[in-house]
Order: sequence, then C-alpha cells, then structure tokens
Amino acid sequence: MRHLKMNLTGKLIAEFLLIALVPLALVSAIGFSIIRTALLNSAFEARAKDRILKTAWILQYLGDRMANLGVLGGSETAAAVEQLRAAGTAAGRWSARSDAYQAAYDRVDPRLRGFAVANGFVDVALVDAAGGRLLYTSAHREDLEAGPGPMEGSGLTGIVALVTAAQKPTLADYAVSEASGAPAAYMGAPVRDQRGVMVAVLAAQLDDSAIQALMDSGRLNDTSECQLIGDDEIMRSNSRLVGEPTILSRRVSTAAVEGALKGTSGTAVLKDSRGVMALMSFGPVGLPAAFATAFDWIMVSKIDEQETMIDVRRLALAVAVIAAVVAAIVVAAGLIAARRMARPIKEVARQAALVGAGDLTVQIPVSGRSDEIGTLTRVFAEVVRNLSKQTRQIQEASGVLASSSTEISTTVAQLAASITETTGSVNETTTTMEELRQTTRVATDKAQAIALDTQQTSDVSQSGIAAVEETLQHIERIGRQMGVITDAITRLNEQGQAIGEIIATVNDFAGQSNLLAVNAAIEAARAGDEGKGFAVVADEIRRLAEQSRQATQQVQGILHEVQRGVAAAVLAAEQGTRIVEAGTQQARQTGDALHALAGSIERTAQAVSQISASSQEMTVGVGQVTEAMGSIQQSSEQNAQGAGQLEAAARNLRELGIELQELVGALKA
Amino acid sequence: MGRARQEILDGRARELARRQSPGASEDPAMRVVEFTIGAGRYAVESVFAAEVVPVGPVTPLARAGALLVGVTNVRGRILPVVDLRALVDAPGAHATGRYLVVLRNGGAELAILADEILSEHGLAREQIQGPLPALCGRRRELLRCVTADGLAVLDPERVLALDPGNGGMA
Repeated sequence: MRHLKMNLTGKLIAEFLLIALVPLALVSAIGFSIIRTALLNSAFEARAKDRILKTAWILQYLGDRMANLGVLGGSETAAAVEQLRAAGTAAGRWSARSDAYQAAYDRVDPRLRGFAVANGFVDVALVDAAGGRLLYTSAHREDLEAGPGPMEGSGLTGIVALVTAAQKPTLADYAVSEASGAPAAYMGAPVRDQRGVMVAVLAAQLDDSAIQALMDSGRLNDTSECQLIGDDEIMRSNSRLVGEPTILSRRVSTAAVEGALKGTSGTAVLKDSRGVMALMSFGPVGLPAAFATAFDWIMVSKIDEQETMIDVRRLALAVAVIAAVVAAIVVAAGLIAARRMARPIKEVARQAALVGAGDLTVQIPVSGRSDEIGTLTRVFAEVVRNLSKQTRQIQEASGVLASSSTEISTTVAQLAASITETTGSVNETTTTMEELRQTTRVATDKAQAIALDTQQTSDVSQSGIAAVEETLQHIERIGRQMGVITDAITRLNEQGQAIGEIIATVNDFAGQSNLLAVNAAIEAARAGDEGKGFAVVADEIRRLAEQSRQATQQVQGILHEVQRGVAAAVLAAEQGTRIVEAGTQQARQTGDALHALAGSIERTAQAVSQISASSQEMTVGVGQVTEAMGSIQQSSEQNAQGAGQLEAAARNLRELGIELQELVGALKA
Repeated sequence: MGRARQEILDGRARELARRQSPGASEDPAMRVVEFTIGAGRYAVESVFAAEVVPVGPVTPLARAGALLVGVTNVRGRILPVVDLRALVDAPGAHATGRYLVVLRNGGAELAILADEILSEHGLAREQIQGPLPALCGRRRELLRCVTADGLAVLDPERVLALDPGNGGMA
C-alpha cells in the first residue's frame, strides 16, 4: 500500500510538474527563439549598417583625397616640377646634392608638405614623367640622391605606371616597399602644365592609421570590428583584435569573402580568421566604380557571436530559476493533493486486490464523499455486485456449456458415425448403380429381344385366332351331331316306355293266368279225386304263369337297365349339348381373348419400344446418377473430414467449458 | 340275341324236368291256397276257398270296425271284405291288397284282402304243427295250424265268424 501511495504521489507530482513546466518550457523556448532571432537580426542589421557606413566613409575619404590630389596637379606644381627638374640637372647630369636642387626643393617643399599634412598623407612625391626620376618626396628627402634605384618594385613605381597609363588620378593597391619592407598604398594624379601636357606624376602614400581610425570609429562592442580585405583574400587593414600588423600578412579565407569577391553582399555566421564564430556582414567596397581601379577591396563588419548572445543566455538563466521555483511549488501542491486522494483510493485498491484474487464477496465501504473519488467507490461497489451476479450466471452458464459441449461431442460422434455409414451407403449405392447400369443394359437387350418375340407372338396369336374360328366351326358341327343323338335317344326312351307298357300288360296276363290257375286248382281240389288231373294241369298253368311273370320281371329289369342307360344317355346328351354350348362360348371367348391378346401384343410392342427408349434414357440417367453419387461420395468424404474437424472443435469446446468451469469455480461469488 | 334266348329257354326246360309236385308224389293231409298279407304267408284249405279274384271297388260301410273294410261285388254277389292285418298282427303293415280270397262254408261267404296269391298246393301231414304257443289273442283263435316253414293256415270257420252277418263272434 505504501508502494501504491508513493506511486500515486509520484505520478501526481510528475503530472503537476508536467502541467506547470511544459507551458513554461514552451513559452521559454518560443521566447528564447524569438529573442534570439531578434537579437541576431539586430546584430546583423548593426553589422550591415556598420559595413555600409564604413564603406561610405572609406570611399569619401579616398575620393576627397583623390580630388585634392588632382587639384594639386595643376600648372603651379608643373612649374615646380620644371624648377626641380632644371635645378637637379647640371651639365646634363642629375644630381640631388646640388645647391640648386636643394634651393628648389626648399621652395617647393612647404606647399607640398603642407598638402601632405593637410590631407593626412604619409608621403607626397613627384616623379618626372619624362625620365621616371623622383623629383621630390616629402618624407624621404635623403633618398632623392639614390636616383631611380629605390623606386623600382615599390608602391611608388606601381602608381606612376598606373597614372601614366590612365592619364588621370587613380589608386594603387597596397604593395610591400622594398626600401622599408612595410606595405604601403599610393594614390596618384598627373601633373599637367598650362598646355595640358603631363609633366610628372604626383603620388601620395595613404596613412594606414587614419584608415584604421575610420574603421574603428563608432565602435560600441568589445569584439566588433571592420576589416578591409583584398581580392587576394589578404587583409588590407589592421585588426585591432590581433596584436600584430595584418596588412598584406593575414589571409582571411571565408565563405563571406568568397561571396563578396563575386560582387554580392550579405550576412552570415562563420568562423573568422581566429577560428571564433562571428556574425559577419560583407560586401565589396566598390573601388572600380568609384576610381576606375582594376582591383577592389571587401568590407567585412563582424562581431563575435558570443557577445551577441549574451542577452539570450541571461534570459535562459532567468527562465531556469523561474522553472525551479515553479517546480518546487508544484511538488508541494502535488504532495498535498496526493495525500488527500490516496487514502480512499488505497482502500478501494485493497478491495480491488481481494476482487482480483477472486473474492467477489467483499463489502466495499461507501464513503459519503460527493466528489469523483466517492463516485469511484460507489461505482466500484456496484461493479463488484454486478460482477458477482454475472460470475454466478457465468458459473451456471459454464455448467450448461460443459454439458452442452459433451452433448455436442456425442452428437458429433454420432454424426461422424452417420457420415461413415453414409459413405458406406454411398459406396453401396454406387455399386448398386453400377449393377443397375448393367441391369439397364440387359433390360435394353431384353426389350429388343422381347420386341422380336412380340412380333412372333403376334403372328402366333393371328394363327390362334384362325384356329379358334376353325374350332368354332367344328364345335358347331359337333353340336348338330349332338342334336341328332339327342333326338335318337329321345325316341329310344319313348320306345322303352312302350316296351314297359307291353311288359306290364304281359305281367298282368301272367297274374291273371296265375289267378286262373289257382282258381282252377281250387275247383280241382273241390272236385276231389276226379279233379286231380285237372289240378296237375292247373298247376302247370300256374307254373307257366309264374315263369311268365319271372320272365317279364327279367325283361322289366333289363328294360329298367335300358331306361337307366337311356336316362344317362339323355343326361349325357344334355350335358354334351351344354358342353358344346360352353365349348362354343369358350371358343368365342378364346377368339375374343386372342383378339384382345393381339391388341395387347400390339400395345406390348409399343410398350417394349417405349421400355427400350426408357432403358436407354435410364442408362444415361444412371450415368448421371453415378456421377452424382461420385460427387456425393466426395461430399461425404469432405463431410467426414468436416466431422473430424467438428469433433476436434467440439472436444476443444468441451475442454474450454471445463477450463471455464475451473476458472469460474475459483471465484467466490 | 338268339343264342341267349335259347339258353334261357333251355334253362327253364331243365327246371321243369327236375322239379316234382309234392302233392303228386305223396298223399297230402290237406290242400291249401297260399297267399300273402304284408310280410306274412297265410293259407286256407282249398275246400273252403271259393275263388280268388282281383279286388274291385270296395264300398265302405258305416259303423263298421277296423276289421271290416267294406263290401264288394264279386260276380253278382255282395261280399264283406275283411282286412286281417289288424287282426293277425301281421308284421310289415305295408300291403297292396290287390286280391280277394273268397271263403265259403255252407252259405257263409267272406272275402279276405290279400296282397299276392302264391299257389294252391298240398300240405304233408308231417309239415303241419299245432298252433304256436307263442301266439296269443285273437290271432291264435283264427289259426288252425302253422307249418314248419312259417305258413299260417287260417281256420275258415272262425274267419267266417268274423262277419257279423254270419252270426259269429260279433
């Protein structure tokens, strides 16, 4: 719990710090950036102004002196040149040591020296245009005797050549004087007489310190300076930041110099010749445009970046101090807030840990707080109650799921068995279809054979119809014969009855004879002895009557036999007649039946042809069914695979249900 | 046909030649007329038998008994007709009654209804036996004797006495 509290406190403090310091940091960063940019811009602007100002000053300084030099090169100086030339030349030979020359020098000297002082030149010299001889120099009077030698290779020689070539005032770049070994820059102008002919060249050496004073004037900062650089990237001014002279000795090779040499001007932050980062404004001075020189100088105004950024650094320090104070306040506030919020959350967390361990029967103490923490406690209690209820439902559901999954497994097993049976049945059906196909082929063959047989049977039935008609004729003849026989028997019966009557008559005769004989015997007996003979006769008569009677009885018996025979014959004849009639009827029925049979055979033939056609269609149909059974077989196999997968799925489901049961069982709801 | 007929005739001739009349060879004790009533054989002495005739129309008499059937006309004489079947307990009551045996003794006459008239012949003395003791009643009274072969000889006087007109037993 301690850990939780610390965590919560730390988090709150961190969040507070984040909330407080991020805007501060953002504002600081933005302000820092804006101020830095503004300072940089301001510094750049100051450098640019400085450079432009110094450029203008340099140009004006040079231009003023150039104009003064041109004015000095007028006829008065030409006369002075003439005097010096004449005084120095004695007996056709130049000598500076002559008194005449010295006198001429002294006459000329004040004016020219005054000019040099007034214009701040180090030296003013006159060089004879005709022979190139040095006629006058204000700074090096002792050198005049040396003749033309010392002039060679010096800056004086260069300006003389330039003026001679240009025939007008001009400027020469710094060059190292062989005499002094120091760099020197000259400007020169032609000296013309009244006819306008150039008689000499007036040359003046520029004062480096004066130029340096120009460059350093108006300086406000510790590290700012202006530099003049030649187009050979070597400085033409002395740097005040470098302890030694830098003219024609220090090379300044920076991107700013290269850009300015191409005629462009601009600003940049670059390492200067000392290797220090500096803000620079650079640009060409414009000597060719102003004085028609063949060279140009570059003006660079620079200041060390470190000095420029000193205000920015102060700002950063102030921001850091403010941030530290704010952070301290925020930490204090965070501690107080965390202490106030942690206690109820700690209690809820302890209950939540119990819930997390699976005990859903915990009682959450509901505090009376109306803020979000109170809401949290109440909602958490509600959640636990709901969770408990849902867990009980899940327990019940998991039980149902387990039993259902078991049933599904059983069902799937049955399904698999059914599919196996189906596969077997399909195989059997396929086999049966094959047999059926063969059977159908046999049936087709049989149907064709039956068609042939039916034709033959039709012929036979036609023959049968003819035979039946013939039989009918025969039976009619037999019937007629039976009629004759019946008539004959009837007559015979009548005759037998006549014989019976005759026999009765004879029998009656016999009886009467017997009676007569008995009566005669009675008479004879009554007559006594006389009647004995008569008695014998009577007895004989009586015997005769008796024999007659016996004979008639025999005849009667025979007649009875005859009559029985006749009766039987009559019966037989009647039966015969009936039989003949029945035979006739039977033959007619047979004929009808044969006709019907012929019709049936015809229809049978049609049916057989239909059967043949149907059998062929059936063969096609059986083929299709066989293909369909093949498809069904494939489907069954796929079903079997599917059932296997289903079985596995059901098993997984069951295991899942068991796991779910175990999981939920671990909960106390 | 002719051959069979000859054989029959020959047979009859041999029968005649072999048989001899019993009355002719011996002196009989009496001569009787034998007839049948039903199944029983009866006889009367020929001296008392007037004649035998076929039965004619018999007229039934009112108030006559079962014994007296009626009266009939025989050759102009009206004779009573008796049926002995009821009297002699003749077995086999079926009878045709086609003949009449007329008895006469003196002036008394009576006709007995008979089924068949068999013959008139003599009876030897040894044949005659007394009335059978087994017989009883009126039948015993009517019989004169019985032969060994079961022939019952009627006593004519007693039979004639059956007629009430003769002043007999009635």
